Amino acid sequence: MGILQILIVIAIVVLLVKPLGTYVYHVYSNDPNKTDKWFGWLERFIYRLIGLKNRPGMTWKRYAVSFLLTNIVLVALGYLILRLQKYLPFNPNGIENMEQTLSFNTIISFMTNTNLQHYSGETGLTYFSQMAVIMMMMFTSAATGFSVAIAFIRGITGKGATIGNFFEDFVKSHTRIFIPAAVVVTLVLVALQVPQTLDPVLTVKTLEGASQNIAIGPVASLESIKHLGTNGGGFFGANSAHPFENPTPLTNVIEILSMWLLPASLPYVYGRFAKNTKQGWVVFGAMMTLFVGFLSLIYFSELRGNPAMNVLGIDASQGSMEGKEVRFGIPQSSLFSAVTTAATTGTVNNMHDTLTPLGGLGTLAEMMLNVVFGGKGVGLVNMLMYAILGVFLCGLMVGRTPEFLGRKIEPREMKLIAIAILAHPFIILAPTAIAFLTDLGQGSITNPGSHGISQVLYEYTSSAANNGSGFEGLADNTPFWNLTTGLVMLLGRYISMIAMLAVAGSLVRKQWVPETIGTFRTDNGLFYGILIGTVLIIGALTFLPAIVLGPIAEHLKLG
Amino acid sequence: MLDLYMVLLLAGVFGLFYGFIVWCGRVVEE
Repeated sequence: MGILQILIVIAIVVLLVKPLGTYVYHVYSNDPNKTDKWFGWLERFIYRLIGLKNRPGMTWKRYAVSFLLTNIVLVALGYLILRLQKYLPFNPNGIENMEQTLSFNTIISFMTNTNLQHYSGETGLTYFSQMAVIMMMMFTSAATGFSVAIAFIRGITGKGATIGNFFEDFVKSHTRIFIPAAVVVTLVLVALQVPQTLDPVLTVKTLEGASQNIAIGPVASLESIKHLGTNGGGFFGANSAHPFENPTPLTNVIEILSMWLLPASLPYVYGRFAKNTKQGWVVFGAMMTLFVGFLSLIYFSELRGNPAMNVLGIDASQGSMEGKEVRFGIPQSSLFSAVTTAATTGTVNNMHDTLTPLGGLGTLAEMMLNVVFGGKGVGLVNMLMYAILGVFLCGLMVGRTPEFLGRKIEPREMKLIAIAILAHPFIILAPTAIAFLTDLGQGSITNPGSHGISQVLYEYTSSAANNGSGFEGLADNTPFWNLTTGLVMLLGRYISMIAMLAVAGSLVRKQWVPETIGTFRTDNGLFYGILIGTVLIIGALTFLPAIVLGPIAEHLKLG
Repeated sequence: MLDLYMVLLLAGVFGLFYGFIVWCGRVVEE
């Protein structure tokens, strides 16, 4: 029954990839289509409002500077609101201004689509901050990621010198994808009993006669975009484990689909742009294969239970239920954990710190690879980066100049791809080592031994992959963690985005090389295998020593 | 005062990203 639940959700995703991918392709193809009729009037109004009459194509450099400047303005505005929230409207619960380093961490966290929360939403943020900073950033960070991914796709599949107009892509991402989808999902969640109100905290009498405060607020609207934008976090500190965020198994499936469908449809969008949908299905197949592998690891590890608990004679028939919600059980908890770390959403419906060592390894590995569907747009860009690397390695093996989609891959592209690939493990492993070397880092570790290593490794991996979930036993709301994870989130977001836009800008100007019988094909089963192999080999070479010290050592000690 | 440090840190990091864009531009051109 558990496996059947999982298979049904996967089947829904596979069935919806093509129609959703077709819609997304039409949104960004800039050819006249039906979606113009529905949303064109709103976009024309916005363009007039921001003085964007003409929307010329941008070179990759102009595109990168545009998205960077837009993000800087949003960061400045958000930081100001968090530091002044006490004096701003919609603060019925009298919440104070946020501390400086925590504001720094929070604003970076939400701008980079990480949504790592070193605070608890119901006590740390006013309703105004929840809506004007947190929710606003959830839309804009997702739209930024989506826009960059589409620009990258245009670069590797198109001709000319430009890769689209950032502001046009950014506006369209909001008007045609995220806002309509968020409205629909919000209404569905409200219908399924998720609160949506500006009323203050409820004070109720318990059965024992004591007084208890129950936090409520505009939950449903935040809940919808936090998943649709693969943002993560939550209105409440417990995220989607909280019954007001995720009351039933049905809302759980809706939330899983909300965060999974758009990233899953992007490979198909890439195939449409490449005028060969087989290219997209090869990438989708590689992502889904990796996903099913990691999901199986999580599911069967949790189902087996915790050996240390089992020897105590505790009933293990339900699996390892520590830190999980009874209404979801092992299947829906495992699937949620696998999807939230694959799509780098980072919201949780069970506590990842209490996953079994191998279950925790599954979630950790998905973030380390950062290509298994991935966050809004970023996962596809990373996977295509590995595809180009795979083509390059195969070219070296047969002594032929590598080509990808009819363009020669030269040292300039490989230099940029090497930086993007190597930056990810560096910004995870270097701060992890620093945390162990300093009292500031060690002082926050609440579990001795291997699990303590996993806690720190998970925190920086989650930050670098812009995921945002955590092994929350780590006491991480300190200036040391706020600043170091803040910097890791920034580097994890922008280095690969800028480098890959540069690759797109380089490829878009190149002459097409006609396909011959000797051309290495990237739309068949052989390349599907090479792509998976490239991802796993690079991942193992960079991260295996660290995960042996953490989750694998912990698993072996459990017996 | 801590606010100023946070703003300077953010400005410094975003400045580095702009420098990275310029450097990537050189790699693409050269």
